[in-house]
Amino acid sequence: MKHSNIFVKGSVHLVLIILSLMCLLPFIMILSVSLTSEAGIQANGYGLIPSQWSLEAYKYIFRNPTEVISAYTTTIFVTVVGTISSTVIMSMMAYPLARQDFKLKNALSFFVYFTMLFSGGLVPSYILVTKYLGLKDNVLALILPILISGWNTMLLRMFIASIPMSLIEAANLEGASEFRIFFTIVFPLAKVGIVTVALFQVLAFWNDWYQAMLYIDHGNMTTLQYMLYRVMNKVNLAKEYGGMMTTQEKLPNENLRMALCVVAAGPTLVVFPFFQKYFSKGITVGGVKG
Amino acid sequence: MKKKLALLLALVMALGVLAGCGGKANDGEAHLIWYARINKEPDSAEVFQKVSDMAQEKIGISVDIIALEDYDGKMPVIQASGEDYDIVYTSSVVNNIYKNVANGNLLALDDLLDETPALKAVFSDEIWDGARINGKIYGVPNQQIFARGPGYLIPTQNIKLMGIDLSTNPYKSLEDYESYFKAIKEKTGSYGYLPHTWAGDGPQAYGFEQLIGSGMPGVIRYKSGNLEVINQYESQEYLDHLNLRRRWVVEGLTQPMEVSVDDITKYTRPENEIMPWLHFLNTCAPGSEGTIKGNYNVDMTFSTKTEGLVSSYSLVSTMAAINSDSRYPVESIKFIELLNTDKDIYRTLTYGFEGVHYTKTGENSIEKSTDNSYTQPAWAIGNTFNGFTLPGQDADVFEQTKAVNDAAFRSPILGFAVDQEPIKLQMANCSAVLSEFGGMELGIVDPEVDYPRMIEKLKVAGVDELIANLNEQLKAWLATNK
Amino acid sequence: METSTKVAKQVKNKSRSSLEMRKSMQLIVLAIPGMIWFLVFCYFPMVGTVIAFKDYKPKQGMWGSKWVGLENFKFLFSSNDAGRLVFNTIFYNFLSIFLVAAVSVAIAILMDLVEKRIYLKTYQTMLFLPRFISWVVVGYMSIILFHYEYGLMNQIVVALGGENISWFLTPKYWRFIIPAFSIWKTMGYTSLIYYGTIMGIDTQIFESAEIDGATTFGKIWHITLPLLKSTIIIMSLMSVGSIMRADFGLFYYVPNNSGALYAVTDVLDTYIYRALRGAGDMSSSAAASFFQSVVGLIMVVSCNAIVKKIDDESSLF
Repeated sequence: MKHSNIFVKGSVHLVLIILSLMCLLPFIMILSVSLTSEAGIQANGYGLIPSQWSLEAYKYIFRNPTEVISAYTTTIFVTVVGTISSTVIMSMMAYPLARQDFKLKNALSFFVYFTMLFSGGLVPSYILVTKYLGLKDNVLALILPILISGWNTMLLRMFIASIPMSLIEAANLEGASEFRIFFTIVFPLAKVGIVTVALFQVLAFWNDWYQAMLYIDHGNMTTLQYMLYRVMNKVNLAKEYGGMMTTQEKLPNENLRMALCVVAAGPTLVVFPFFQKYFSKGITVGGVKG
Repeated sequence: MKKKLALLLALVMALGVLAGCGGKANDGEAHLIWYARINKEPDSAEVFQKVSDMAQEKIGISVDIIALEDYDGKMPVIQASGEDYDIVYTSSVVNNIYKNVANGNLLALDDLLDETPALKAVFSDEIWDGARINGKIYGVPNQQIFARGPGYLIPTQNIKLMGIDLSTNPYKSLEDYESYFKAIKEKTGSYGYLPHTWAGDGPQAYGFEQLIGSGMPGVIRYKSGNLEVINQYESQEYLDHLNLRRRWVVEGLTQPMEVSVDDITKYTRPENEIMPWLHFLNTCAPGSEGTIKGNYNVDMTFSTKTEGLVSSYSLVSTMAAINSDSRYPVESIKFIELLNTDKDIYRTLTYGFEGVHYTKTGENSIEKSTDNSYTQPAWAIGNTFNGFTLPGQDADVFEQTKAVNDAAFRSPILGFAVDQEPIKLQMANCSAVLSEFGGMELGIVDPEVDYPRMIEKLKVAGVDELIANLNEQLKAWLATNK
Repeated sequence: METSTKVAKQVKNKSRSSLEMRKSMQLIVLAIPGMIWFLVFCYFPMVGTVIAFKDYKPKQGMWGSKWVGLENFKFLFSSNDAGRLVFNTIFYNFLSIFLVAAVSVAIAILMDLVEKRIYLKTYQTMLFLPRFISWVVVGYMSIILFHYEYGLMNQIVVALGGENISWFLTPKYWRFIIPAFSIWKTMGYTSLIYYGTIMGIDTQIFESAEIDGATTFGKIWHITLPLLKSTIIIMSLMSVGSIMRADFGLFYYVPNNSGALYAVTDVLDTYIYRALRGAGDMSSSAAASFFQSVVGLIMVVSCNAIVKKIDDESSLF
């Protein structure tokens, strides 16, 4: 929308700048604390700029790089393979769901939606993955159980539904098969929506620690978030049991915990520009029309 | 291309399904699975393999050691899913033994122990009997300090800097530390840190023995001769404790915030400065100073030690137990015996490899390597008396511990275990109420306002029924056991 | 003659219906990989729901354990927690549905007023950042903000002449802090959706309004907002379906699982987590999830009926 009032212009930018800072500053805080020495925290508290610079925490993390490297490789593998396969499978499923003329549309939608409401819970899933699929200590156990999200499938359905039906009908008249229509018309046209969902899948795979906690017993396979979770968990346990075990186990310092955050979460921020170009037009949830 | 990819994925998924059909080969040789409450360290795979090889060599049993760090997060799932395992860690807190027994997860060991006389000989009958639940032995205690008695330590540097004379035993109980905190305030201008709340084993300092879980209502005054179960939260001692903590906070003597013991690293000070800290330990074990030094690099000195109490609760505080569905119960108990009687195997698992993870400084003492970290909780593995001593610990620390255990006060209800099933609801309700009042126990919230509210809420939560039921259970037990 | 046209018609119909059949089959084939996943990973484990009605003892197994009917639900609702768990869950959900919608619409309108693309892109990127990190990391941020001695909030409070506040022990603040984090994490994405809707509005409408002398505010009030109305309603109704589900991480990691705050931060999802942990109380936690599911189902089915009335195409099923 165009407008000319300089006062309006100024206040618009002011509000958006404040909001942007509110989103950005916590990240700077974590980075800053991870770079502050323990003594600096003691003397001056947390700050947006380290009061006493120190790379100790990072040196400590990379002192034994095998674990970090293993965590990075596993996490990247899980994220790439998981995101590509899940986005393709979900789009393939979302397309029939978006077709108003598909007879089974409602039944299939309910089939998906129902799983978002009812879940069997942890124990049956665990039995399924370990006993029936035999995936313990297998990297697939980090992908398959969270491969598909009902919510994202429905989201994709709405994106695809916003593609003009006339295009699909025209292709139909030319005798194209549904597979062809899906891959040559739907997939490219729903690009913004698919990229959006792909981004969500990237975050879901990258930020998951639960599967690693449940399904990895042996060996050195680990994920970044699980590394982070382990540290947090040790600190929590120490609190929960009121110092009973604390004199027995050393806990990582504060700056080390923050450095782990940076190591674990940092790379996702780098990925964003790649997705961003699809977003700047704005995401229109198909069907949800003004 | 994309279609092919999709097909490939479908194939992978199908393969995964098929892979699950292959069963485990049973070659007749015992291969145990042990979910241990220990840490995953960079070199743990090699160490665990070595331990298994040693066991194979010594008793012909190999073992798959799985380090579960988040024990409470994962073990319930493993147990509930009926997964195959043999040896399990259980305790009064993590993977609660009472719940395990109620659910039938554990094998009674009474008969099995006859096959392992060396293991049975580790403890006296008194200890074995004290650890019984419903008359049966369900776990092998890890030999360690059983005499629980809370105590306080002050940073060693403070003794000199503040001119404290410990030989006169100036600090008999928490109240006596008022002068300590006043001196800190005078000399540093800052309040001191007292990072503990009433819960934990704190009540024992006031002569209470807790019957269920730490902090749950239901205690007896174990020295009074009167074995009536009371609600400690309604006791004068508790109210006095609250008022004391509150007064200290109001007067700026102690910190007005939550501090955890682990925040200690934030408050360490150089040698020539006063460290505003009072350390609380729920168990004064010989050598505790050394462990603190090892973990936090702070020198501490005991300033208050209360007499230890051996109770059923302390005996089951860390144990090795066997899955009731284990295919190899006899082999499992033999392996547990090895862990508790064989120094080599215990030391390898606890400290790693000599020359890599530690260097010997004497026959039984070591110094840990700073380059290759391998840290395990010794008390969660087996007989700690078979371990090494660490810098800062006396060479005879294990003899000292044994002496403390032997001399400690015996609970008059040793061997009594509460059946938690009938009071499940009240326990859940009370624990929810108690968690809300953490601030009051630190003195941050005024007890004038919150104490009556807490008592009121506990009543609504059914604390009276809880206490009545405990009294009933205890009376029934006394009738048959005394 | 008549019969032959009839036959021709039938043949045509037949071929059309067989074509339709083939098309339908192709659509089904496309959906198959996804359907298999849902069957294996969602429907198969659903048999586990039965635990909610049993006194689950692992050794007796899912089928062998004693059937106790609604006993677990009775236990759940006779506990003192039940009231506050349900209240907190619903309270925060309604609050965030309302606040997230209000804030996101406002941001979308503001973004629409930004003319330079480079600024727009920068703002959008910044606002999207919080969506990227896990709640575990947000939990660390919360410590940096609210730590009593070192935290930034207390540094500000003191600078303004106030006294340090023990944030993690004072429940009253968390009724604001929790929704604030919730908005903080989601506004970037939801505002993008509303922004997209505004972009879809025909520019001619604005131009003709301008000719009529409408001010910026006038245009927002009379054109943008009314046109956003149905998006807002539908987005909100969709969230109503999960009214009994809370974002676990928000309520567990952000308050750092501080017991003193349970009164205002404990929700059904954190309760289920704690019941499972340590206590290993499978039955109670299964009962609580079952309750969530049933309420969710009722809400979704009724909301779906409403959505269908407003806009049939965006109904869920």
